Amino acid sequence: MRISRLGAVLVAALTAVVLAPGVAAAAPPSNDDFDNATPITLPYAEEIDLTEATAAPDDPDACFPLRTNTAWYSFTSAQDTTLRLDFGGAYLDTAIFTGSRGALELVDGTCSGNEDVRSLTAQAGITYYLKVAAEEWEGRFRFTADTVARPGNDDFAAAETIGSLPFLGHVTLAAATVEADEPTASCDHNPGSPSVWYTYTPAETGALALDADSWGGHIAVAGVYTGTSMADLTEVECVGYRSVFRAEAGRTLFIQFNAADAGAEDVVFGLRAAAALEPALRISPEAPSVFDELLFYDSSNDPEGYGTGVEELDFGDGTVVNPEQQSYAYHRYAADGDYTVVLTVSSIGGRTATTSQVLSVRTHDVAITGFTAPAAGRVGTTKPLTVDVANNRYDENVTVTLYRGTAAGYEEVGTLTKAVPARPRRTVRFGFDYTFTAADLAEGNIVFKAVATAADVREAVPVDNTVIAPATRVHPASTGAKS
Amino acid sequence: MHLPLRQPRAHGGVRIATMVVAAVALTVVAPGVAQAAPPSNDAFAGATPLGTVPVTAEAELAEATTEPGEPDPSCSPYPGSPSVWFAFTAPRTESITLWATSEGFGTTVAVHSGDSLGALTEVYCRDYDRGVLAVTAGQTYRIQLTTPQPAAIAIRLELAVAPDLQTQIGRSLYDPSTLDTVDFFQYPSDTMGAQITGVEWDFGDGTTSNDAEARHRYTADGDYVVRVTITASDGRSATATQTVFVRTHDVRVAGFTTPSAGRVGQTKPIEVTVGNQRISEDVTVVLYRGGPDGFAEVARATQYVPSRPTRTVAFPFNYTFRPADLAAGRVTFRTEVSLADGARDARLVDNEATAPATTVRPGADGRS
Repeated sequence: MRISRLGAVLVAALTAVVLAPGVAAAAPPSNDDFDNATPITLPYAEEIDLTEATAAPDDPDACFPLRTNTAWYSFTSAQDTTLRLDFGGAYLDTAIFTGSRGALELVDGTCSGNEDVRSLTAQAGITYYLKVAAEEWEGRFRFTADTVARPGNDDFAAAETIGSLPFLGHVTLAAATVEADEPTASCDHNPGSPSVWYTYTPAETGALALDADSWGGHIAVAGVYTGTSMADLTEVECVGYRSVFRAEAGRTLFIQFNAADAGAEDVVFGLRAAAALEPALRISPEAPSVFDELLFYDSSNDPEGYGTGVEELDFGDGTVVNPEQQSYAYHRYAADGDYTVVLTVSSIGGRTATTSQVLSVRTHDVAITGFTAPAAGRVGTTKPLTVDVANNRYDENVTVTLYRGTAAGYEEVGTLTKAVPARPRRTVRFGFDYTFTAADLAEGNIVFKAVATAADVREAVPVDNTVIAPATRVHPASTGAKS
Repeated sequence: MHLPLRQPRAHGGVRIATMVVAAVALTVVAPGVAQAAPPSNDAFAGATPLGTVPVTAEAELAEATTEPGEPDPSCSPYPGSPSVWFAFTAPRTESITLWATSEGFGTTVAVHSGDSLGALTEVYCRDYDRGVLAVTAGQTYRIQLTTPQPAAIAIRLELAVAPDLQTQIGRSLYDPSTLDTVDFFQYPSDTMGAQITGVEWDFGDGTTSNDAEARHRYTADGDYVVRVTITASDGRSATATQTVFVRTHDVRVAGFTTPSAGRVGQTKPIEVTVGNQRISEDVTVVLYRGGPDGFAEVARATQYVPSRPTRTVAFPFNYTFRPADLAAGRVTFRTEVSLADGARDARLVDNEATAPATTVRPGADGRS
């Protein structure tokens, strides 16, 4: 597959005649060797083809010796300057050296093997050598170089004033500097990274959401300070990714923004008012009674994504709890009534929110306190069954359903609905008649069951709403005169 | 891969001209090759006798011919193919398998009954796989082996005793009672993959069924031997049996007496009576109390309850009312009866009772 170098040259020579004398297709670039390094003149732009580039035996293997298709550039400036080196997103190994052939010295921190934009901080009068290495199959790309301006808000004294929120700032930090007495933010793990400054004076007290280039992956850090001068800054917040913090009206904030791994790439700084909490309280079960252990659950939402904690839960009956570390609490009411339940939640940045709801506690409790079913019956005869229903809380409409149980299960045989007033000592009787059948005889015995249901309410004590009688024996129809 | 000598045509014809074609081809194609004679069993009359199964025979078809009046195997894809003959006289009445090992496509094994070429009846024909033939003791079967492209290599004919057809019985209920309808299944297994053409059930109580999956309800307790016989399309059959123990356990709550009211601290009697007209056995009665939080067990007792037409066995309990019963002002008693030793009650509907709620008041001394 691979064309020999000689062959490639021959082909190149032949085609060059026919096609385009100026374009040396598939030939090593002129700056293949260190001695022929191309001087970078600003602004610089070139379509690079490293497909046929080679490595010289004495090329420095300081950082990434893997890729062998290399080319060299040189740069010398009359004054201190910072360059932005953009390889159009190609995945390359680059390194920058000073010195001379055979005695090249790597410039600290210039080894990179990625697709990023690189930067070069050049001192006046020094010649820098840029080595660019690619894989053979991805050796074509566009290379541009230009100076990077020093950000206008590089110095604390020139901090950019943020007028109104939301604010979004794009900045290239490559030419930024570190001032002599500049503080290091508490969460900055790369002290001494060049920074820019912003300042903001909130008109009202509230929570601010700060985004320190959270999408960029450049290890950005924003230190938030109060004070009057660089010398008396007090840190109030340090944001390594993004966060929400509280700011007071009229108190000026100074924000120091850096990114240790940005090089000449843009980084993004964002500041806006934090979203308010959306409080919500869920209570279960619905339609509770005094017998229920109620679950109160904080289902609030923080649009900023930090979650909420319960500050206080007032059950409205004189009981107030503070369930630390828990998003729920249980409570039981001693008496029926309408209670105003108040939930207060909080989240980072001093944000709090309150929600309330009126909870109606009603204890509906009807009960079957009497059930008479026949112990035996003959086929063809009719016998009475009675169901006595007690109710001492609220007036109810009660339906009693009578069932007949066989080996196949229960089936309904009758239903009656009556108003049952709330009376402590008296019951309401529901009467049924049942006629025994031949099918009952085949079963040997049948089982009567009665169920009482109060209309449209939740029954507080269901166990006493169902009765099941002992089995009723079934006998054949009596013969002759007796029936 | 395969180049047939002749185009397939409709089955069942009698060959006339094929031999001539073969003879001409021989003289033209291979004059220098030493001409081998046709095999000794080329003709029907020279059929090679085969002994008792299992038996293996070599069939040399390279120089085989067809015979005027020779039948075409009904399943042969290439009628008119040369053949050789074998004769098998069955020593026993049984099912055998026949199998011709051949690299070529279209090798066919046919079996005929009858004693002369003009009076043959085909009883078996397979053109690519092993098949089963039911043979009768003493009868002679003529085996015709044909192949459309005879090769120098011999074809092996194998006769073997057919593998047994087998089946097993499964059922839906392990411990049925006379109240249950049991589903019976049978699971045939057969290495020959034969189609099952007949199923016959005998439930052991004088009733039978011909359904592949049968349902049956026994009318009386007892031990019944269920038998299933299945028949395959090739004549083999299999039988399986299983004993079903039908036992109808059925106890009932015949009475449940609870107090209508009580005071906290007061002790009152509760009685459960249990009836049994089926199998005498130990019965456990469990007593529950119910309130706002549901039912909870408070007592249990186990007694022997004999099978008796009318008399019952009483399970007496004492219940002392507790402060928790005051929460709703009422307590509800419930009872459940169950059988010892894992026996299954056939009729569960009468194994429980729930009493009307008992009113509960504070203790006589004012305690709650």
